[in-house]
Amino acid sequence: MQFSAVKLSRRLKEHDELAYEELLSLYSNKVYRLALSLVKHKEDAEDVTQEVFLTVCSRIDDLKENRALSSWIYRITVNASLIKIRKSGRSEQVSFVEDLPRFNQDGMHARPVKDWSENPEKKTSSKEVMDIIKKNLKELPESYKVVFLLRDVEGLSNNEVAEVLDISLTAVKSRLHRARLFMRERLSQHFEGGTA
Amino acid sequence: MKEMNDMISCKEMVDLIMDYLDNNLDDEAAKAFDMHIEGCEDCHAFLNTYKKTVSLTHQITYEDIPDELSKRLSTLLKKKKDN
Repeated sequence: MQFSAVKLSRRLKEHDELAYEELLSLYSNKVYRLALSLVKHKEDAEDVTQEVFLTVCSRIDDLKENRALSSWIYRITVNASLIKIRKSGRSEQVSFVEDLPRFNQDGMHARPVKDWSENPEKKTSSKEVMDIIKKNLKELPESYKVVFLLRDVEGLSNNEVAEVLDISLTAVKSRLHRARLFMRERLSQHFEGGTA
Repeated sequence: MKEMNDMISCKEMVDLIMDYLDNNLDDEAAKAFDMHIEGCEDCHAFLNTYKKTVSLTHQITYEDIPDELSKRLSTLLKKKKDN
């Protein structure tokens, strides 16, 4: 845990006014972006962000000394976002089994795999690729999407993701791997017209 | 008894890919993985496209918090602290 983060937690507990400003400056963009990536709608992301910071301030005394402030804030953000999605009735349960790689009975690829990794941006602009990833992210089941976002978009380590979501490291790795396989398949469909 | 590097299948390669990229495989498993990739064009392509997927995902950005919300939060937290 970083010294500055520990110090900030202490200063928040002491109701230091500058600590509140520092909290916003360090985390408001991170919270808003994560909320937006989960709830999809700006207004909902704004509601979640506001709720997160009010929760952090009112419950800062619950944060244990040995727990990372950032993990705690991410956890509150994920929980608030999932509650928002459920309340909005937009929760989607998607099966993505058909988007995982297929193998024959000998464990070999069922279809030839094309290599589109060399400069895919030549065929599709970077912005378009980002839009494809974001669009497909929406189709991932929430439990996979949260892991994928925290690990591969926010850049948390596997251990940090496990701490934020209170799940085992094995579960983090399993969900992350499946989410990546799903995304690879969807990108393959785009770049190579359906082969994987 | 067959060596591990003789036994690895494409499906096993896919199952091991994340641990391979995170350097979490023991020497024997990593060697088997490397040997399979060298001899299997499909898995070579699969590994490259898996890595590319991860690197493209790292580049995703979402928009910053709106200024108006930032100001509102600052005011709200100040009020909360004063109460």
